[in-house]
Amino acid sequence: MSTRLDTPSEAPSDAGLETFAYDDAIVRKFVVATVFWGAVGMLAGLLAALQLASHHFNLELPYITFGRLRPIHTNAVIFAFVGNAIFAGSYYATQRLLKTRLYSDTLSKIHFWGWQLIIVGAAVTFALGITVSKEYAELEWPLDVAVAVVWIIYAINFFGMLKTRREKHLYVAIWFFMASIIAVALLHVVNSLAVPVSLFKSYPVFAGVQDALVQWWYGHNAVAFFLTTPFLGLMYYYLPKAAERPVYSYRLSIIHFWSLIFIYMWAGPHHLLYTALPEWAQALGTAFSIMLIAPSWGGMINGLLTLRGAWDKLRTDPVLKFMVAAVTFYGMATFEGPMLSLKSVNSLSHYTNWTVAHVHAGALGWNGFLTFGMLYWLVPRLWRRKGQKPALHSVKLANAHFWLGLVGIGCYVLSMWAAGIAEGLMWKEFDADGRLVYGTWSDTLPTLFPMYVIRAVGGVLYITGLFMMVYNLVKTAQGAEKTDQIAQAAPLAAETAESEHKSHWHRLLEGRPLRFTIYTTIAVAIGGALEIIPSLLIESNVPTIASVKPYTPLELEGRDIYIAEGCYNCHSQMVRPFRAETERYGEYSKAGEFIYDRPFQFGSRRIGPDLHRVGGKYPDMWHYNHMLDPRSTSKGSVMPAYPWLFEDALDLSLTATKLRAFQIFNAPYTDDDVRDAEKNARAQAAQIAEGLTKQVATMPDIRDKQIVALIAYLQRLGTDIKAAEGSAAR
Amino acid sequence: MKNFVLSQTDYLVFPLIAVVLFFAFFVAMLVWVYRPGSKATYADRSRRALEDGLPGGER
Repeated sequence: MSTRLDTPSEAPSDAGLETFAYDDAIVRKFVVATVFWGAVGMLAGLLAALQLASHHFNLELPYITFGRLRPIHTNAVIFAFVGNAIFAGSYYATQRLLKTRLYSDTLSKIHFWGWQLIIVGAAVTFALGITVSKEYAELEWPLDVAVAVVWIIYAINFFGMLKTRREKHLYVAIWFFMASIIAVALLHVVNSLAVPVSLFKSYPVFAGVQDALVQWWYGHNAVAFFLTTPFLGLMYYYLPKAAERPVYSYRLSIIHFWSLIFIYMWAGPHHLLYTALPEWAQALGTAFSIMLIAPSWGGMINGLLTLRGAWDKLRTDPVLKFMVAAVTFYGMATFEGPMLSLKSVNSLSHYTNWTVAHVHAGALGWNGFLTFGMLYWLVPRLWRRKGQKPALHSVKLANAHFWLGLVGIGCYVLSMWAAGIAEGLMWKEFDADGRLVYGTWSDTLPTLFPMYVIRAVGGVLYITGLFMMVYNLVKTAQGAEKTDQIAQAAPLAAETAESEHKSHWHRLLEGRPLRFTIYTTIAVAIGGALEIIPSLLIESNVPTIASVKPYTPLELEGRDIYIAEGCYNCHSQMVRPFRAETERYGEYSKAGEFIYDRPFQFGSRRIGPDLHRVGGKYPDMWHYNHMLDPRSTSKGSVMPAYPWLFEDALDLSLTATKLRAFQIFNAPYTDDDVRDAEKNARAQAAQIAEGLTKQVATMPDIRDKQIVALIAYLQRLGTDIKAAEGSAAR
Repeated sequence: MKNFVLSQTDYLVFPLIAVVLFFAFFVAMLVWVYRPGSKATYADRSRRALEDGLPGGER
């Protein structure tokens, strides 16, 4: 039976139908990859969670210390798990919505294998400490190029379907996919702009505050256009499918779409509140973040009300359970986000576990649950049994997965909320004499320990559910047929002539994908253009400080070790202008202090204390002992030990090239500085090493080891401004 | 501080223009989306998502 309610004349006669096959084989591949990388990414996350509960889980292995493991976890979940889910879901849905086979079987295969190779490349390079250190954009430049190439292949393969389509109108889900493809390409290219100094090392073209602004414009919109809009596309297709009724309001979906893609791009600066970012950019970020509630909740309401009159199905159908919970988590996370963007709330929440709770409500609840719901719906349809209706191996097991996952998210989010608020309050607490109550960082850790344990338990529950799903899906697929579904539709030409007369401009718009694409690009790019470009062009945004000088060659090498080990994952370099922070760390950070920082190292989380003013705070010997055994200097610390920094040789072969690159940017190195880079680095290393052996004669000589460069960098941090005390920023 | 604010003024006009443009676009979109007689069109659009073009109307 046909569900078309058009005038009878529009319904094509059987004679005009074309028969074709959907490419379901590629969808099956992406489904398998989704499940596989989901398991890998979540297990990496569990290990990271355990490392925060106890440093022993770092196993003193460089490859899986927290600083290197966290990017592996975040990238695996975002780009491998969610990425493959987007590809599977959008390819399945779009073929059917446009009544056409995927544009090119060859491109589909290159897309699939290219993406999986990039994921493997990412995991290997991060484990080796090859990273740009910009969050969710850590890939070094060769892999960045590979991502761009594969993304363009995805775009060609996707937009190619618009050419071969047999359905005139583009359903709203397709708009979301198209906007995502365009926006991700734009974000990825701009944020990855860098100058390579070797195959595995590059420096971003932006520095300091400007690099931070570009990075968080990217970072925020990676959440928007990788984790949100493609999933809204999936929601608009799979939720109606599972509920067997059309979306609640198609009008609302149009309003939802345009408002969301316009507003999202502006909200990035809310990641940099109270930092050295210009005040006007912060205010703009906050204002647009609050505006975001409206379209986000429009989408949530549209999703939930799709179930009108079918709520009873929720009792029995695990697919709907997962999807409805996912949309609810979307609503919660998109309410919490704007709240965290309020400066007063952000002053408490920023750098704490509250942010971690927020993103995991989104990742586990919205992305995870929507993916699970989609997989439970898709797998019985992709692996069909002859003569049988599509059905899961065990509905009971899927329902058990739902409840286990929900309790898991509950444990995770509630414990991290509590931990985040507790942390934020402890960092700010003064006693009656005006001294910090938790003046020593490790004093705050015992309070957090039980929360970290509960969080890890939540993770175990969630992952147990995932493995129950794997078993269920494997059983569903076993012995089923892997065929391409055959479909029939009339070619486009026959349908268009008539509808042209009565078309309104938006029908024209959606009937003409090119124009639609251009308007979408404008809506998306306008936020970037009008917010980011001024801040990059106006020099007065970053008042120069005369005493701020570029790093010495050894300090620069030390900084690159700091980046490679992922120190920014636990330590910020941004003292905010609060009394609690200036008491604890020293003078608050100024924009002009970061002009030679490529990339910026502001960080987004304080698992350990801020390091921007750590230079000169302790003697070299303290850093030596601290890096070898953090517990020897800081009782109760959760920091992993870094014994390999004391064994691995300091590589200065690229130092001159690095200085040359900085010279091209803006650093006032002379040609002599570049030529003598290695010699000067050796001299500074010898000075530090001799200083240590003078104190303790039995100390091994570290002048040729990586640790000496790291000590040089740490001792330099934030000290330039002290040289010009009083005459600081203009 | 005063100089700093003044130096920003010209550029701050751009975000303002963008907001005004968006607001105008948004209102126009609302008026158009709720134009009389469009209900049936949208009902048709949203139903098409449920159709896979399978022989016999299978879902």
